[in-house]
This record gives sequence, structure tokens and C-alpha cells, in this order.
Amino acid sequence: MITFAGIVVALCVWFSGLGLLEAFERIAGRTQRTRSIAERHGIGLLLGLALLPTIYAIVGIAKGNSPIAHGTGRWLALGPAIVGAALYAFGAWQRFKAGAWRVEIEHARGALQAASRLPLGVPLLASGLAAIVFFALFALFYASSLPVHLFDSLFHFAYKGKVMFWEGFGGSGWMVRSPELVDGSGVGRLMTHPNYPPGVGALHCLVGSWLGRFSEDATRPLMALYPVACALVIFAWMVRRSIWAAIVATLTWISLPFLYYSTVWARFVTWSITGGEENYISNLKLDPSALWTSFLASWIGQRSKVTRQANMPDGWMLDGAADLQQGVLFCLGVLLVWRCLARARESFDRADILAGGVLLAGACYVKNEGLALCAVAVVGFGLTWIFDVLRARRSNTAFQERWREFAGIATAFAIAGLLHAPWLAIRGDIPSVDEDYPQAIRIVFGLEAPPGNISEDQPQNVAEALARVPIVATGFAVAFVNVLRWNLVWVTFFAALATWLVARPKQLFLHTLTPIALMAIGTLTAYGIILIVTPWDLAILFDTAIPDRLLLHVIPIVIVVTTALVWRFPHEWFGDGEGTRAGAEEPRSDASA
Amino acid sequence: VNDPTLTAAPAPPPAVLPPLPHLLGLALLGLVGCILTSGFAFRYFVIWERDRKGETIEVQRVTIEEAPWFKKDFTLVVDRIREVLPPGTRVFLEPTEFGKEDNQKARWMLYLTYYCHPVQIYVKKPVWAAGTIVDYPQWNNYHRQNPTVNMQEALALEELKIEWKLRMPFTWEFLAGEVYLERLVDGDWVAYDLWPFEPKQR
Repeated sequence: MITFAGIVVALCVWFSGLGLLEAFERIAGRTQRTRSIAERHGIGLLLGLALLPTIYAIVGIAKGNSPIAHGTGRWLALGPAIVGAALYAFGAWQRFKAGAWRVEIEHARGALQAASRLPLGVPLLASGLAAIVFFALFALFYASSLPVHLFDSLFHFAYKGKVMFWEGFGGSGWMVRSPELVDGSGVGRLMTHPNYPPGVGALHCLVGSWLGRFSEDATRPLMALYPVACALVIFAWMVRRSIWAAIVATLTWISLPFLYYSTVWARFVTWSITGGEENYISNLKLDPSALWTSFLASWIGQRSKVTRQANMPDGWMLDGAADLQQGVLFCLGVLLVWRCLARARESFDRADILAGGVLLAGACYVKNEGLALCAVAVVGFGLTWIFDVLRARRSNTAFQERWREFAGIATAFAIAGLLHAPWLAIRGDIPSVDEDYPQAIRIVFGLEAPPGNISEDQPQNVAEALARVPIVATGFAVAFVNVLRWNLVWVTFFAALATWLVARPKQLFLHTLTPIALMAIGTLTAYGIILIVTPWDLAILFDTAIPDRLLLHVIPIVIVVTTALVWRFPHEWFGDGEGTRAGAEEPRSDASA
Repeated sequence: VNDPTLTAAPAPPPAVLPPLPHLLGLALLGLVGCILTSGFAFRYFVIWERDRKGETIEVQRVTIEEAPWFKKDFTLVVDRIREVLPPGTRVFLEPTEFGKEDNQKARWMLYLTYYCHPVQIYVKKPVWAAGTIVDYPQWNNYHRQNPTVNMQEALALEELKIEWKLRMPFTWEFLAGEVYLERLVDGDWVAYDLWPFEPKQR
């Protein structure tokens, strides 16, 4: 539902983000790097989408039990937008005066020339760009033309917005025990996953402040801004490798079936959910004809004998469940921070680090998994940093550079932690229902006694946990090969990794994107562990698009890594002996400052 | 102006072109996604034009058959409750009946909590009610075994100053005609007619 309020908030998000990026660039000063128009607007949009809900949530937390007044809510969006627009206008004028547009035109001309070298290159390029624009427009149309209607979007996420909008934080709406309850704790209000963070709800509240009432449907169009912004950034970064790499990566992302639906036309792998998880593997049935049915049904609907039983696909991602938001904010956050590594061989400035920190904070504000993802990212960065320090020592590379990398990574995660701290400060008061995974892991290792009401599916010792490993691994494998949801992204990712592992194992570990690939693998491992200890019956859980929804959290980086592994630079494949800044093809402006 | 922001980065060396198998794989990658998603886009547009184009959000909601919370009977009751009770009113929800088998679509406590808000819905054993598909059968069983409030729960209702009660069956289908609103008057729950201007057989 397109409303004036939704449009206003979308503009506020956009300009506040652009302004924040300009402000960060001012902080970067003379070390500021060049950003293309696509990258600037993509990052700007995402910064706004991370920043404004975070501000709203922090102000809400500060107000405690009373809600934010609509007028205040409006200014929480409009104030940063006005400042942001002014900052952006000033920066854009400076860039225009200095002729930055000429550089953009030169880049476009270069891409066109590169395309024209291939037979049918120009029509292919035009078709690719047209397809990207088509899917971006479809994302906007799809998000705007349907009411919010799915369980998670409404009851997990929008409801938090409703409670924030009318009641504020910390009251009985959040299942915090009412102070008037002296003894009777057996009666209360309910909220599904009450300790999920309030980022998506805060976005609903911002729109509601302008509308004068809460309406999840008015916020829905804004959900399309996440994939569109992500597409802009992927294109801007991949075009450095090749215009074809940029088109394939961007098109793969923006046309990813799972962005638009999780229920598929016809399932080619099926299992019985009533048979229980212990029979999940033996109950798996493969029906390859369902692939053909799906292809056919996608175009003709239920009109033929073959497609009569086909479902109309539907899904969470643009409906307002938080997985898409988390995936986009987290992946682009870590990619911005990654630029500060010498091995990335990318130009970078302080704005990348600061913006990366804000995006990571935004990721933590939409789902609890954001914290787990940040922990995985810290490990990924940490391992490669230690590896690079040890190598630098051997080759006498300056420690000062490593220190700068460390400071960059630490600054980004400190910003994320600082912005997330207000929520963490009150989260402990809100009960965790069903999903206390640290406790579940402690129970498995015998560090904590299982509570009396523990689910019979939850493992209570290591042996029971190990018995679930094949089930979880099969669940992941089924998801990876589900082309109806994931296209061939996962298949290509593993094929590209395997190719490098076999042909260039050393170069794979020295690759610019190794830390990011490690994060993708680390996240899959972490989610695998969580599924092993989950209290849910896995056969039922897999029927609710798990682990696919979790895989979405890393899919942008998987697409970036896969594209980079396929469209490799010569030095990445053949090596240049160092893998450090000395061999970088793009001068890092900070190094010369 | 010697502005470092405007220093064009030197063009990177061209990336190595992927060999033929990669190219074929990538062509397939693009093709699969584009065919599936553009097919979905096409069908979605056809359905949107047929069912939802130009309609109000309420009518659009009714077109989504899978969502029990958009069924007309349910929305009628919710609208009426929000008309009758001012925001912030505390209402105790008491199931009168359950289906033979648990059905996750019949989690009316969640749907009422969302759609009646800012009217506040209270239930017994809220943690089981708030659990998603893991815990709600426990909540159902508890109510099957304890259809009335026990002393502790009665005390809680008193402490919370709850003066309204909504009694309804938790069957798969939402039975609007069997939803009863009651008000606490002088210690007794007295029926409040939700539909004063409607024929009683609804």
C-alpha cells in the first residue's frame, strides 16, 4: 500500500543515509575515496534504513514505558533527513563542480567498449541491464501491492512495532511481569519471540508516526529498498572486475527466487512432517518432475493437467520478516569493513569503517542472529588478520599497516556495539521464549541441568546432539540444491570453492575475499550447531523454510565471493608472492596520505 | 581544487575471463533465476490485476486465503471489539472448546492479540501461548485439562484489575457466532451483547 507517509519515510531514509555518508567522508578528510553514484546511493539507502529505526528504538528505550509521541516520531525521521539532504547537496555540488560526472561517464564508456569486444556484447549488456531494472521495479511493485499477510512478518515483527507505537518498551506487552502481579504469574499477555530486537518494528513506527496510526501495510513498500540498495552496491563493486561480473552478480541477486517466495510451485524434495525428525531422512522423496511443473506453472499458472496441483508461491522476504534486512545489512556491513584489510586491495577510507559499523548495528537491531553473525565476522576477520600478521612478520611488512587494519575492524564493531548497547541493556528483562540457544548448548555439554519442561526433541547430551548431525546436514543439502528457491547460487558457490581448493589451494587462502568466504562458511556452521540443539522437531522446522531463511543472512556475500572466484584477477589466480598492499592495483589513498 | 575525492582510480587489469564451463554454468545461473522469477512476476501481476487492482486494503486482505486472520468472521469480531472497548482495556481470553486435533491455524490468541491491539489480550500460561508451533499444543492441553481459572489465576485477574472476558471456541474455523464478551459487574461475569443491532442468529 503506497501512502504519503511511506513515501516521506522512504525519502527521509534515503537523505539521512546520504547525509550520514557525506558526514563520514568529511571525517575521512583527505583520505576520502571515490564512490560511484550507484555505490553512494546504495550505501546511503542502507545507512538510512539502519540509522533511522536505530534512532527510533534508542529514543523509545530511553522513554521506557511511555510511547514516543507521533510528532517526535516524525522529527526523528525528518530531522536527520533535512541535515542529510543539506550535507548531500553540498557534497554533490562540490563533486559536480570538480567534474566527477565526467569520471562516471568515462567508466560507462569503458564498460560499453569492453562489452562491444564480444560478439553480441552490446545487446547482451543492454538485456542484462534491462533485466536488472525490471526485477528492481518488480521488487518495488511486489512489496507495494500486497498487504502484510504472513505469520512471522505480522506476529514476530510488526507486533513489536505496535506495542512500541502505543505502549513503549518494557511493559506487560513485552511479557515483562506486571508490577501489580504479586503472586499470580499464571496470567499475562503474549508476544512471540519477545526478546527479538525491535528494528523492523521501529521502521513500522516511523511510518505510523507520519500516518497518525499504526499500519504495517504502509511500511511494506519500504521492504523493497533493501534488495534494490544491495543490488546497487553489488553492481558498483563487481564492475571493477568486469561489467559481465557486475551484471551476473547483480542479476543473480535481484532475480533470486527466494527474495520473492519461499513456498514453491511444486516441491521436488518432499518429506512427512508427521513422521518426526528421526524419520526425516528415510522419508525424503525426490520428484524431479516437480522442477518441470514449477517452470511450467510459473508461466501458465494452474491451467494444465500437469500444473493443476501447483501452489501459488509466497514468501516472507518482502513481507517484513527480518531475514532479508539482516542479510543485506550484515553482508554490506562486513564488506565495507573488509575494505580496510590490506589483502582486500581496495581503496578505502574511514567512511567505510564508520558506515560498516552503522550497518552492522542495523543488522543487530533486526534479529537476534545479528549478534551471532557479528561474532562470526569477528572470528573471520580475526583469523585472517592473525594469519596476515604472521606472514607480514616473515616478509617485513610494516606492522603499522596491520595496526591500522586492527583499529579499523575494532572501530566498526565498537560502533555496532555502542549503538546496540541500549537494546542489550533492556533485553535481559524480557523473557526468552523457546529460543535460549546458549542454554541449550550448556545442557548438551552437561554444564546446566535441563529444565523440567524441556522439549522432547531437544538433545540433552552430546550423543543425542550427534544423532541430529546427519539430519541437519541433510536439511542443509536439500536447501542448497533447491534451485526453485536459490537458483544455482549455492551449487556455483561450492563448485567455485572446490575448483580453487583443488587447483589453487594456496591462492585461495591468500585470496582477497577469504575472510568473507570464511564468514559465510562460519555462519553455516554456527546455524548448523543451533539447529542441532534446537527444541523444535527438525522435520517440522524444515517445512517452515528453515534453513533457507538462515541462508539468506549470508547470500549477498556468497554471491560476491562466487563472482570474485569466477571473474578472478590474474594476481589472485597466479599469485604475486605477497598478497599485500605492495601488489595492489588500485592505490589506497590512505596509504599515501 | 586539488580534491582527492575526484582522483579517478586507475583502471584495474581486466579480470581473467572465466573458461567455457564456467560461462555455461553462469549462463544457466542467470537463465534459471530469470525464468523462474520472471514467471512468478508475470503470474503475480495477472493475479493482482484480477483480484486486487484498485481495491481497498480490506478487500485485498480477504483475497489472501491462507491467512485465517483475514477471514471475514474474524475481522468482524475484531472490529467490533475495538469499537466497544477503549484502547488499553484489559481483556481475559478464555477458550470454550478445542478441535479434536491441534491446528496451528487456530492460534486465535495470537491473532486476537495482534488485531485487537491497543486493546490488551490476557491469557493463562502466556509463555506457552507465545511459543510458536512448539508450545501451543501444551497451551491447548492445559486449557483442555483446566477449563476454569484456578485460585492463583483468579488472584492474578483480580490483581490485574481485568474487567472484561472474551469466551470463544478455538476450533479450526473461527466461529463468530460463538464469541461472547462478558463484563465483571459486582463480582459476576455478565454477558455484553457484541451485536446489539444485529439479528441474534448471527
